[in-house]
Amino acid sequence: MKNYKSIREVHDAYNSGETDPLKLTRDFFSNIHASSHNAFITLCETRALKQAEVLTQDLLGKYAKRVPREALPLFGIPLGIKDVLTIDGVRTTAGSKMLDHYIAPYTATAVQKLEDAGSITLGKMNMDEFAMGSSNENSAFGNVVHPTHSDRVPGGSSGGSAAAVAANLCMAALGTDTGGSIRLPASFCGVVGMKPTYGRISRYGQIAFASSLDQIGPMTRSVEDAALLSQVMSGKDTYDSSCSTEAVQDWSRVVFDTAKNPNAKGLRIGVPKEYFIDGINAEVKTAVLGAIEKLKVAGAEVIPISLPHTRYAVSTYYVIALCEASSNLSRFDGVRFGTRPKDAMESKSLDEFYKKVRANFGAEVKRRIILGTFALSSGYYDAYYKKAGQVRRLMRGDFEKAFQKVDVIVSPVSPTTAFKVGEKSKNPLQMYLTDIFTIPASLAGLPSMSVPVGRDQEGLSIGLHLIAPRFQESMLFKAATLAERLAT
Amino acid sequence: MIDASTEFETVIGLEVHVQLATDSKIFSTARARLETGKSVADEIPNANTTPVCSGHPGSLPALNEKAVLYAIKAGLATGCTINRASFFARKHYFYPDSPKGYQISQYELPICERGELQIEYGNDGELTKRVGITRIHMEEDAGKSVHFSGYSLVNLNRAGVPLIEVVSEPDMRSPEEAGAYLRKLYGIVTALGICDGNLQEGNFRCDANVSIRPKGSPQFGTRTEIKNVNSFRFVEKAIEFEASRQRMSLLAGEKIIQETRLYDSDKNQTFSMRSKEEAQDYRYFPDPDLPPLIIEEGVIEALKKSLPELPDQKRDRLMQTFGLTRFQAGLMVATSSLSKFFEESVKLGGDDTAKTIANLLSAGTEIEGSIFTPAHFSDLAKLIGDKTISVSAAKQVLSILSAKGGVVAKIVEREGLKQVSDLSALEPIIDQILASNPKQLEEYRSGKDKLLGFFVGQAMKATQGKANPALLQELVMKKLKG
Amino acid sequence: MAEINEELIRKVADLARLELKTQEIDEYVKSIGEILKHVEQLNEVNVAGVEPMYYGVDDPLRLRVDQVHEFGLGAHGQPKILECAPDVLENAFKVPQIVG
Repeated sequence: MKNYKSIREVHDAYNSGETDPLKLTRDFFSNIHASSHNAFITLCETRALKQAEVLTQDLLGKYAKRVPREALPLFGIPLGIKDVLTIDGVRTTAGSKMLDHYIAPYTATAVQKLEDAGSITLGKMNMDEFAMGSSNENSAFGNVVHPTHSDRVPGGSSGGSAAAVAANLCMAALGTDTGGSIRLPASFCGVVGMKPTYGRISRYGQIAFASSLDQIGPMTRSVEDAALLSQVMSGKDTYDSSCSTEAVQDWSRVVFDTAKNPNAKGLRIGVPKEYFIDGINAEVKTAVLGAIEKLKVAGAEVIPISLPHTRYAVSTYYVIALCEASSNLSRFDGVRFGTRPKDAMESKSLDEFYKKVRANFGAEVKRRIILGTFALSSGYYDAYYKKAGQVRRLMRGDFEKAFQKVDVIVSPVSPTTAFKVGEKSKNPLQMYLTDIFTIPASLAGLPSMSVPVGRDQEGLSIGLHLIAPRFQESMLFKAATLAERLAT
Repeated sequence: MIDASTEFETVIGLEVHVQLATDSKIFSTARARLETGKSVADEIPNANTTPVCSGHPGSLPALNEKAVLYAIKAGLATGCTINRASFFARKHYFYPDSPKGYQISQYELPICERGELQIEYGNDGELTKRVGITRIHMEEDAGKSVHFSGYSLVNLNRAGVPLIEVVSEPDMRSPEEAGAYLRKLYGIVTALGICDGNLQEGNFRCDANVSIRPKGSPQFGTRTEIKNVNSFRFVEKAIEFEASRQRMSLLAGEKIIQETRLYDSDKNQTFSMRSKEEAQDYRYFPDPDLPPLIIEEGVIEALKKSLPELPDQKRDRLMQTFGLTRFQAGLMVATSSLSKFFEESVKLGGDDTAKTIANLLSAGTEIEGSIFTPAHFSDLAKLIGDKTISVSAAKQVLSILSAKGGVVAKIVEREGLKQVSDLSALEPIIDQILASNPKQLEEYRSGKDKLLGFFVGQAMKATQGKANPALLQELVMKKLKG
Repeated sequence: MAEINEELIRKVADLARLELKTQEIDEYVKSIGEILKHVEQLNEVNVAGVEPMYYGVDDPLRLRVDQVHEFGLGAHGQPKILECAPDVLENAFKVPQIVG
């Protein structure tokens, strides 16, 4: 089947009659069945074909062969949904044995918005268990295989989403990002991945990992598609008290206008010295610096900045995220949902029952629960959770100061390209350090994205990391569009 | 050194959980309140739940604004400081009726702090005391479980119902004071309309912290917590038992173990709930799903203005307007339904019937859910007022009404309850009594004044209790003087 | 900061209702110990007077109007929420007998 480069191209193809939603959906399922990436945990074939059929009929009938882009901006677009997001009546596992047979009773607000805008859900994407991981080697349903290099990890935790988009198994996908879980796999797999400002997109229906950090975001083939998906999903939700009332702008318009008249003049790009340390792979450094240079040549001003508390990012993040995670995972007790071992009811005590059920968690999840429980436990709260919260505020302050001088901050997404399967899985701390560049933007709640800007000698993708001020997605998309154009 | 002669004082602190009468739950849109006339037992288990209050993955809390307003009202009515910024925290513990594995509550900086209640106690409510309120905070109720042999069943209908927890200072020193505090607090929350006040359905639940110490000792003794006692009387009895149990324990040289206990009302005993003592580590931390609750400038003022007349204010007004004693007036405002009933009745009978009506209502007649109407009481009060019947006759009418119903005037007629105030009927009877008791007459006239009661009693008996008591006493006294 | 040893890991695992095998405990002592050692670097930071950042948003809490939206009944006429439940009896969640 054709490899469409953007949602716009698909809509053009619908309008020209080249394909239709049903045909396209069938084509994707063909690819999926033929693929060995293990990108999906659950396929929604019947459901998706039904959605596609209705849309195709509508296209031919009431829409008279003209895709209603205004009313239904995602008309007939087949998407993959990370399995950490609930869909009513659909198996939702969060990559865990604990939810192996869980059929969600309600649909996540963000997913509902996409389907209300005309999208088709192909299936639920493979991921690191409960979004905890950077390589998609922690799934209870097997590793996700890198789209082009099978000996490499696709990145995580949204590995399935990234791989599927790159391998043409869906038009775009939803991932979630807590410390880099969209941006890292996007960089490793060569797709666009975006994390909005914290509070842009409702978390209702997003199985919680770290509540003050989690965000849903798009993983797409182009910056324009990322803007479109973000726009559709963003906005306040009465079911999510942490979702902002900040107005949503027409970001796809920003991208469209920037692409038509690409002008980097006046754009002030901040390059943080703490992000260009030793330990970054030489080719990654070259590609990123090259992308920055192109922007400079196109008229942007490159300004060196400092984010002094960067070195504390991983420590700060892991304390906060794991404390919140240990709390969020307390609800998995086998009482109202979840996988119960056959002999669970024979337990002689509640504690025994709980332990039997919670044995469904994988090793990394258990490690994080223990760490988080410890850091919140009596006597340690001030030293860990509170301290980390204070450093977090200082890190946010670093960004706010820098953004007085620059419009957008750029860096590598990760010190390396996709590493080998098994390379870091035995060393948790090393694995945590792969997120070193993506974490600070998460802690500060800033919108950020990864745009592919090159490949290394092995052909592995290298992403450029862009960060904008809170609620300044317009600036982010503008800069990303420029970077994307210049990279081709 | 503690010995049998040591005088102990009991130190009591009360934690009351008040269910707020909102339509939906505190963090979810499930139904929180029973439909009128229904009881908790009528509801299908787990019908009043959503993914939020049953802790499903991906669910998030959304705070009910009415619950906030009700909590502030409770704080204003008890003189608390309303914190303009307050925070929600997660309190972690694993239990099947706690769906998220944590309860959302308030830990540091609750919505209300530092209030107080004035209580009246003693035989006629003549003793007063100020009891401090440390804090009032918002939290969610837990579900319920029922136990069988080999398994338990969990029902989450109650999980997520809004609660305010009112925590008192350990200022109470007797079961009586504790009872007075509870009744006062109950009267306030029902008068405010923030709580439906149905004790059977668990709308108002009390945990009592009890400790004892030698009188005069500045340090607190180890306290135990008595949980889930469902009536004010039982709270008083439980505290009484517990204080005595602790005293005996200390005298026997034992240490008081800090533990949770339950009260058995049949045996009138408290017993330990936990088989092993385990301090709970709740791992409190601010709930990241719920940013700080900020109360807008004008909201508190507006709520203050909108507060209804509170029991103490009503009591003072009844004392002023109708000349009731403090004790009587206090009884009339114990519940909002009773005070409404009383005032309606007085309206029907006229201001001058107020004291009599209060008297009749104070006799402990159960108004709630009874056949009694305000008109019954105003009618009776009028009959007493014009001396047609005596107070005791009126009480007879009330008991007949409650058993069989009827009309007041007809019952008085039918039972022949009209009191005899006719002098020409009474005088001969009294003469007869005096004549048949010459010995006692002699003793009375020699100075044994106490015998007046004997003669009055005999005369009353001779009239089958129908004599107008005041008039009878006056006549007997006159005749005895000779 | 605390010493990470077997006793501590066992105690914390109990708090979190996790059953750990001996080799798991050994592994966690090692990896968690390493991670916490790295985290010790936070002690270098001067946080005097800094308000901790616990929330992702700056907005105050938004309130919800007090309105009931029932979740409803499922396909078989029982409360819909029970459809996911592992063990249901008389519309209630069944668990081992809760002692104490």
